[in-house]
Amino acid sequence: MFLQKVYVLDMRAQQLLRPLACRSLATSHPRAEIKAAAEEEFRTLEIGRKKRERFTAKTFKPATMLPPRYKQQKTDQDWGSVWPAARTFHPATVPFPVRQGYPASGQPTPDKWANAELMKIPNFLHLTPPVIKRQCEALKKFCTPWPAGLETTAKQEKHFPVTVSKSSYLHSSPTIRDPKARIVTLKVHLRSLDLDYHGRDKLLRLVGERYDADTDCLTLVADRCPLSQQNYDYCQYLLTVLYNESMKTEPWEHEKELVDLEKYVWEGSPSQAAAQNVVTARGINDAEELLKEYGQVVTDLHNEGEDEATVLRYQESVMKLLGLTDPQDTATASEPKYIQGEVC
Amino acid sequence: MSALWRPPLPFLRLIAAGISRASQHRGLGTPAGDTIVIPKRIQRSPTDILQALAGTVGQDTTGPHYKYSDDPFLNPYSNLTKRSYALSKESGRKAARWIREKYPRLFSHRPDDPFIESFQPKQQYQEGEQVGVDTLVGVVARGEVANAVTVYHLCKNQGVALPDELLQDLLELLCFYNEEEQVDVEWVEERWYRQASTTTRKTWKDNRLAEEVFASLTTRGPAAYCALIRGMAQYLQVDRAWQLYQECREKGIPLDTGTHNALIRVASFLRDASDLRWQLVQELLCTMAERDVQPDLGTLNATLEALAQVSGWRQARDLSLKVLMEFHQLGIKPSLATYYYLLLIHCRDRGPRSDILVGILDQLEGQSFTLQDPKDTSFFVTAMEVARNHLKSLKVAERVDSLLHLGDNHLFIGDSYKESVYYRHYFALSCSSLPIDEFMQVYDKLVPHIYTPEPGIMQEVLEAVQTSGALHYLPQLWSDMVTFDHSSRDKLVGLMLAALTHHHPSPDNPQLTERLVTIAKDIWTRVQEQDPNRRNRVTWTGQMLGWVVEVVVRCGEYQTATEVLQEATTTPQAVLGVLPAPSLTALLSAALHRKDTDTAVAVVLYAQDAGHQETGQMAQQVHSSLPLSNQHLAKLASALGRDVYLPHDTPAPAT
Repeated sequence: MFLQKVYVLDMRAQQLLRPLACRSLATSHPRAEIKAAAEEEFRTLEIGRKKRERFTAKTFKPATMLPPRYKQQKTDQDWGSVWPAARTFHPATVPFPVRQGYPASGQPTPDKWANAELMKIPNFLHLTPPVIKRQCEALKKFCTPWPAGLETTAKQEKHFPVTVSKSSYLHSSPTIRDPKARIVTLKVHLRSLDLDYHGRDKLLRLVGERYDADTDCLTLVADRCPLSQQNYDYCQYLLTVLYNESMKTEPWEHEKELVDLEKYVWEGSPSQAAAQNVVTARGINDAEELLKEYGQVVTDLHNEGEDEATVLRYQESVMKLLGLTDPQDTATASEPKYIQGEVC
Repeated sequence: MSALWRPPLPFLRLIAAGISRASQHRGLGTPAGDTIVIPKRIQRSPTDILQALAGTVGQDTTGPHYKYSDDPFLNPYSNLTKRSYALSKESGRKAARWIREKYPRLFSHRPDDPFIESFQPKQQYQEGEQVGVDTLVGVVARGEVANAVTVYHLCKNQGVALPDELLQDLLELLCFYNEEEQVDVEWVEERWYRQASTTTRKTWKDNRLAEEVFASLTTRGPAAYCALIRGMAQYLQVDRAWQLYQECREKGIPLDTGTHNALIRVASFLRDASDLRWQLVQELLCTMAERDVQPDLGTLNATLEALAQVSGWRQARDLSLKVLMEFHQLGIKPSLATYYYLLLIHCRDRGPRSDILVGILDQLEGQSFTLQDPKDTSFFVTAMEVARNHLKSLKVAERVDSLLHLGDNHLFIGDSYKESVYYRHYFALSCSSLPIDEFMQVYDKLVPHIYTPEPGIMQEVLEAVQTSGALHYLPQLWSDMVTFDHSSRDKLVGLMLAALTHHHPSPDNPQLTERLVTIAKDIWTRVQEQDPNRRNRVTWTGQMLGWVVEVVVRCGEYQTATEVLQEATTTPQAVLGVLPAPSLTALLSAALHRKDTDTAVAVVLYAQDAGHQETGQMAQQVHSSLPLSNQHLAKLASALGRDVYLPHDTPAPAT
């Protein structure tokens, strides 16, 4: 309705009182002629099709267009005001020539005009270093200094061993909610928790994959409740329960079998018995260090896995235990003694 | 975005305490006494960070306003295109809203959480719908005037008893809006582009719903009288308002500040002579003082408005300053509207010069304003107008401009009309005060995205460029004139052509010559290709054609000159006046130089038709320089007559 108003105002401003049908009056209408003729004289008999006025196709004049915007931009303009936020690439506003895309045969790389490749990818033109600096300066007034007494990571871990993190989301849509905002993550290093050997072992069994051995970090993620406050309370509860449970020793824990052992224990194993046999068979009296060394090496082999170093050490220890020498070393060779049974 | 969130302190202290307790238990000893000082969190509202970041973004003058698409094809440059693009975008939104309201059943999906009231279609009330008191309460609370009227009528038809408080609220609503629905706040473009109506005719709806509601109140207390008087005064039903005021005085009903302010504002309509008007205002103020009604900013502004309406009176200026002083002593701080009225009173067209604006600017320097009065938005326009017309000082204008661009003060420009007037004054003042190069810097900054010059201003710019001789700006000005749709204005085209004639081609500016010739040719082709049915057309005058000829001939474009001459000779009725002699002489010399006999003869014939005195000389020149065929001779003879023109074997007498 207001567009009509504009039109009317325009008309009034020009103070022209031409009727709107001026154009049709300007061109001679066949009907008008016929009507005039009919009033005065006999009707003319028109044989054949009436010649319709040929409407010439309106010559389409291109709208006056100024050159693209980057030609008016000065080289020392404030770019942060021209491109303040993340925006799809727009060739008329970006002042430099840039090309991207696979060239057709015999053609140069496609330029920036109507380049879908350039438009698809994210450009970081809104994050030039001067703009970042300016934004950091503007945000400084919301920042407080880092607490005194928490300069090093060690101190931070000592006083604040637990880290809780959650994300909040901002949507530009009718709804501002996001279900991911309820997720709460709690991280703590096991070295900060005061656990003895049994406690640590029990805790690790309880948490399973949530422990990362490389960083010694226990991560608890809670998303089972609808609100992040509830999930946070749940994380707290979980940590408390884990700690307390792992400090306790249940009465049935003594029923731990050989297969349940978390690591290989040499004392009381068949390997120890066999080594003892060897020692007694050889008749060595002072075999404490030998056995001890052998036990250590076998334990390493089981606990740390087989690799070059452990296997080599095992080899040396076994040779010492059996009193073997290196076959190449013939000067001090003694007769190998083969013992029946397993050497493990 | 992920935020590292430290859990609240009690939890942390527990853990820390647990550790220290445990370590004590195991005999590790307490940690050393290091004190941790955690500073208090700086409170911030939800949008403070966004506002801080937004504050780092300045103004970009190379691009269009944010509401337009930033594309070379879609940028608006002329005033008409700016307005129509903005309004058409909004009409799309209005169409969407219309569909939403017409088919509400189709839009049952409501993803918004929390629920957004303004996205829902507005409730319409039909005949025969069951309504109650609560409905009317809700409608009045939301300020929907049309719906309130409908629901009120429905309530009356259904015989629903309405309590007095509700009727009072309804009365206030009707009096404030005069029973008319306002343009929705959502339609920002329509509000921006609408003209503020400044009628002095009564628009109050007499004996209609507002007065009916007033009559139907069981007890008509002071609040009801105040509402009605204020409404009547606002919409200029002055007599009835005054009547009611007298009635209140007789009955001893106390009226509040706002009502007295409204009456002061319309005091000029009640009396004719200036001193009587002021007397009435004084009476009202004294009544306020008697009744112990505290004056406020509205009173100050109303008093000054009343004075502004008698600003022709000699005492108005002194009185205004006295009023300001008195209110200052009462502790009432003036707003921008106060200063607006002061400017109206002191800086009149036909009054003595007043430097009050400088004093006002000293007072206001560096301040950010908040809206306190509807007339606050008129201050900046008036200040710029005063700087241009009254003080004629660019320094003052620049002070006003820097105040406008401080912080959020730019919102006080009001609407698009005021903005264009403001920049028009600033632009014209810069044009007349600054040297041309500095002025063109201002031009580059403002034109075309912030301000599009009107034809009158463009005329001043062209004249300035012509007088200073900085003709290298003409190409830019012509392209701007074409984009702003000024190329169909006779005066401007004529001025452009006149400016072009001042150029003298020399070997060190061939590009400029070429560009200026392009302008002349462009003007020629544009005017020739005009649609004959168009409303505003440029009609050629002989002077303009003469200028075209001069420019193109001087700069070496001979072809166009011959076309012009042909046009002038074949359709003389399309040209007002005749080509002046200097241009014809120039064309003739060019024709003689190129040995173009036809054109030369045509020039002479045209000159003869035009009645120029130099025709004889020109004929002589042609005759002496070029060999003429019998046809040419015959033509010249028939046109010039035997006594002026003689055959070439007879010596020609001096004419």
